Amino acid sequence: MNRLESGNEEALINFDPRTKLMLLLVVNTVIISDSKSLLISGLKIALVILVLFLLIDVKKIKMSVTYVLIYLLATGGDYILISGRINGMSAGGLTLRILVYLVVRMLPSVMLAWFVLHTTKVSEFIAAMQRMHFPQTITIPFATIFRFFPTLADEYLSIQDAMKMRNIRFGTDVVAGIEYRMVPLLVSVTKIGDELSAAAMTRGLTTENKRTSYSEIGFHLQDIICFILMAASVAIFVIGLLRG
Amino acid sequence: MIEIKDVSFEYAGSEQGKSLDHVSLVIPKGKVTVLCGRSGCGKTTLTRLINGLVPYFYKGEITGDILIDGESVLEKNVQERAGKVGSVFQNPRSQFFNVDSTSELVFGCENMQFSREDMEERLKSTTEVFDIGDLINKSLFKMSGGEKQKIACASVSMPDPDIYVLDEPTSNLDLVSIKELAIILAKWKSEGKTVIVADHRLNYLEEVADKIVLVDQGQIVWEKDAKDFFAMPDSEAHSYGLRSLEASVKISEGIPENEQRKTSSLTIKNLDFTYEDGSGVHIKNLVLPMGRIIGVVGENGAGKSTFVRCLCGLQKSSGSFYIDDKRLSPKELLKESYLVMQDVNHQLFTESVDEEIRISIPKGKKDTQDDVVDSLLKTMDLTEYGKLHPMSLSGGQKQRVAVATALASDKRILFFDEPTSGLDYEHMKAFSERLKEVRNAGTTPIVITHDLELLADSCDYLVLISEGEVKWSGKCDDDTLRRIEEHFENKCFRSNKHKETKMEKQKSPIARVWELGESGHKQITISIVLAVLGVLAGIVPYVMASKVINLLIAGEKDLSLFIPYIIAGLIGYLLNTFLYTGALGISHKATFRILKEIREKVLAKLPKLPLGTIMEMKSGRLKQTIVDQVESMETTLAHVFPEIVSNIGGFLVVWIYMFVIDWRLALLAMIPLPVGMSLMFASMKGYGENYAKSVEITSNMNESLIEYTGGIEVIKAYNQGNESYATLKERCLANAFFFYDWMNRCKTNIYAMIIAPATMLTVLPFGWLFYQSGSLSFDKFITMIILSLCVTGPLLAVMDFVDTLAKLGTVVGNVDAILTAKEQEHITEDSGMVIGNDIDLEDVAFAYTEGQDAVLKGVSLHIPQGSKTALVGPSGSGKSTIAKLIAGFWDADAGSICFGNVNTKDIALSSLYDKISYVSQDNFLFDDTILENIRMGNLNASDEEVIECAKASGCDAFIRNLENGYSTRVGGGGAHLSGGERQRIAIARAMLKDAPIVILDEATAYIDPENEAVIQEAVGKLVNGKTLIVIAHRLSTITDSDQIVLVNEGKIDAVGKHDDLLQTSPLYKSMWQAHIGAKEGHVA
Repeated sequence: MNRLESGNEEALINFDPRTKLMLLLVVNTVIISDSKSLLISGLKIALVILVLFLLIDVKKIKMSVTYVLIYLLATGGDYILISGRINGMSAGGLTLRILVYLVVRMLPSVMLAWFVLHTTKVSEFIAAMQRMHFPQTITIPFATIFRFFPTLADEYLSIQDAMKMRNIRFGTDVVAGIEYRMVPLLVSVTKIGDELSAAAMTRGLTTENKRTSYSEIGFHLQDIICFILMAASVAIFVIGLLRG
Repeated sequence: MIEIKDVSFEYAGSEQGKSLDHVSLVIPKGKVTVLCGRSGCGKTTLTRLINGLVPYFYKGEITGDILIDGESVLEKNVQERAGKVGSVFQNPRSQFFNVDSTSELVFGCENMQFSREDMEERLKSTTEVFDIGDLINKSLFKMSGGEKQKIACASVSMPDPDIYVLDEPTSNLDLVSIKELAIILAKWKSEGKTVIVADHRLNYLEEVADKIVLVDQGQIVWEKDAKDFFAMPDSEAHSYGLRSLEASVKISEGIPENEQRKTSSLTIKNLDFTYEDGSGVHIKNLVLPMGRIIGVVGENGAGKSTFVRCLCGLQKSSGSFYIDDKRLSPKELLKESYLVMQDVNHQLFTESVDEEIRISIPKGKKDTQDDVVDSLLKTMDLTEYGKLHPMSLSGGQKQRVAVATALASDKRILFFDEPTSGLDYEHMKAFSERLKEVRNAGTTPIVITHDLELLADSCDYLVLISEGEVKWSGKCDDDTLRRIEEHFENKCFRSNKHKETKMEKQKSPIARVWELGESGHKQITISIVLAVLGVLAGIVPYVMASKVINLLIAGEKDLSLFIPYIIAGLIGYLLNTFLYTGALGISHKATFRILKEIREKVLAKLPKLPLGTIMEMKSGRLKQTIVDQVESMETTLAHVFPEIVSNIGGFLVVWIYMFVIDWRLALLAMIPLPVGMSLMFASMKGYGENYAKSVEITSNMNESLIEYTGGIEVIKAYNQGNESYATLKERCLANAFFFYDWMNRCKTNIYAMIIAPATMLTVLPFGWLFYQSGSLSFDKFITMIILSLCVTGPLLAVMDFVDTLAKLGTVVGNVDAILTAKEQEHITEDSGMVIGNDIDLEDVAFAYTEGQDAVLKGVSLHIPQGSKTALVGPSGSGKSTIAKLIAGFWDADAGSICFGNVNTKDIALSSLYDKISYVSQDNFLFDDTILENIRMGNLNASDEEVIECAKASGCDAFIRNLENGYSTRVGGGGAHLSGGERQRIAIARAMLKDAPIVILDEATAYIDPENEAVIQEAVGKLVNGKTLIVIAHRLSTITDSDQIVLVNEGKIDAVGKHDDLLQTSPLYKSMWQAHIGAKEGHVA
């Protein structure tokens, strides 16, 4: 069943994995930071737009539109909260606050993370980590996690189907609903993980040896531009923090 | 050789006891050894023992020893054996470490530290050998089971191990893929690899297996020679728990016809579902009988799963479903149906089997719950497991639990997805019995499977799905099973026959130019750096200007305060100018170098192209590409690298500066950009195509212009002036209108040009607002206005380039068409082999353009040295093509052409051309003296030799009559010599060349009788003692040939002497008579 959209589609602009890591680092730091500085708020908006461009870069138009809409909604919610029209301590207000907080703080990061996962090949990632002299004991498990996301999604969809057929929906009992989904998911993921490691070992994957790499990674114009942008962002961020 | 010496092994924590019990086995090198036996007999453990997963990954107690090539490997862990042993597993889902195929293919090599070049090489050859060109660089998640298994095999073979271990490789494969796997196994065997296969399905191994080993309860029962084994009757095989050995299945027992059961039916109408990638299912009308076991078969990726998902309501689709006359919505379908998945683990999630069944019982029946649970446990043979956790059960038991839950929820249709993959005979049989029980209980089981044995054993009704459509459906009997087997047979044949050629993705023109112009890289980089610096300097005046304005506004009168700003601004301006000119200067130099390189590459390529291809290219077009079009790239190229980079950089710097001053305005200033951009892209849509079209239309106009002026004599003489002029006029108008129209369509482009850089549109009003509200100081406002002005310049410049880039694309495309054209495959230097002069064509096929109808379809011909061979046949029969292939103008697509025993591909082209003189009907004379024109045949010949040849070919007389004798220049194309005279010069040239093989392609076709005699005589001298191949329409000139080859429709119709052919070939006879008749008529 080929329902899963997974990995490595052609992007218009391709970045080096290290650039993407840096993007993740900078964008997450800025977005999650809690600063009232206007300058930083502006920077955040700029970064949100940057993430939008990245989504457009992989031609996920529908996703970008949804992303923008949700973000705008949340910003609207934020505005309502700030304006004090809703009591932030009431039950509804609290829920809204949590929701708004989650979206504004997490959504861009989640989207960016999705972009990184979607466009990075496992081998590229390993090669990049190796260039940065990360030990294999850290790189390999991370790489495996990379590989696991699509599997996880695939497995989850199958389980979702099974639930539908048993007529078990989230609505009635949330805890049971989660349990019923997690148990089979864990079981099959453990099994796949086991088989996967066995297969990888027979292909000579070790944590001791260095690997060579087929995918050519390296910094190009787009990476340099990205670095400049990120450096500028960091500069603006620091200026913003200093100004308070 | 692998020797397993008295090995016992028990998995840690296992309750079943020893998995291997004192096993001793010798696996011979270079053979295919098959391990078979019941599920859980220990054959998988044996494979793991070989690749080291036992005991290094699956831990446990091990005794005994295992030797590979006489060396104990028990101490070597899995990774150390990886280079020697390649392993393919049963489940493609969990054997790929990567998400895309290419990474997976090189994965093993990367781990074993192969160099990149080595990997590239291996990747190339592996792709070819496994024929997986169309699977490269694809997501593994989007491949069918067969494709995945192919990739798995290919990946494992990349590091070229000596031993291949396959553990149930066919359990997820359809018949087509299984056959392909058998081919791969045979290939490995032929390379001398040791192959070990553990599998339940065995019949596909009949051709390739050497030795069969039966394993039972951790012990080896017997080892048999493959021949003896496959002679075993099925009944005996079944007694060992083995699947059928016969290639085709038979219905074992009659199906009890349940006449009494009322025939309810499930109808599917106009089901239509398509995935993004275009695959899907399309079913017009399908009626399935309820209360029967229905089997759904089809190749991997045929759409079976999608069909079932639509049918059980999991997938919403356009289509109507009826049970009898009642229409069901997808939701209602979902209520009626239950899918037992291939991985049952997905469906079991409670603490105990009891609970699992209980939660499935509909709410209404809660009071009788316990009875229902009990009775279901009983039917499904699960009573003793009621209290156990479902996950602790075996695969078969889990499957039974899932069926029980389905029955408990009163589902009427029960789907099974590949229920018997990886099951041995007994378990398959047991499942088949269960199916019947389910059917007898009144539920309709629908089974998707590749397992024909299961179908034969249990199904009542079959549906064959292929490429998303129902190919066939009907009662299951021996006939229908044959039909299905045949279907797969054909599929296999077809899938092997034509694998589509992969399209190479076109690179962006800039990237391609960059690649082509390697030598200019350094300079271009320097110019980019200079340009960036220049742009940075260019910003300084703006910044300074804003400072000055602010000072002015502040009412500052002290001049000394202004001066530093003014000077800084001035310096910035000057720097900008100098750096920019410098950058452009360097990049122009680099560009010319790149162009030179491109031209050189094209010119170097030309000799490698088949002569025929070059002759086909219009010389005008070739010249246009090499000279004019390449030239036209210069401006673009020289500007593109430094300008695009520096403008984008400049834009960014200014913008960041704006951002720091006031981030709100900076963001607002950008609003017109996307708006303008989208307009721009709208009008740019198809720019490349439009440009290509404009080139074509213009060249059409040029052509007819040249035709008109060139042919003016004829036009006047025949008074065709009006008509010819009309064509010319028409083309000129077409040209004009095309551009007019195009420009018109590009109007939006102009809006884009206006809107995109109009940063002021937002900066002014919002800046004013902010200023009014007090959140923006006046001096900052002014600075922002000035800065937003200086953002626009670079932007406009970048946009301009979009236009020129499209042009670049067309030019690069033309150049690339030449650079990537198919080359002739000849060695460049002779190996010194003695090349004979006998010519042998064997099964030669050829088409002028790839994919088009073949001109030659399997021509075999022997032309002995020194003989005269005539090729005759109707026009377009391919006789000329045969001659041109022999002369090496093209390479044959298939088959071989040999000189002596040497294939022409193993002869350097220059030596090949040395061997052959080719005289055709129109011969090109260079714009040079006659002497030199003849000397073309052999540049080392002395003047005397040249004149000698001229005499022999009967040229001497007319040459001496010319104004300057031998030093007369022959004008362009030798215009002022008659056809016969030119022909004789060509023959003289050929004579001087003195090649052992002479080909006359209609050389005497259009020559007047007077000349003919002279030329015939010249030819006679030319071909004396040589191998002669003549193509002739005038059959009378070739009656004396040693052999006449009659070519018709790309094939050889007949070969023989004139008299024989008159007797034997009716075609030749009729041609002869036509010729004689024409001659007589001519005379009369």
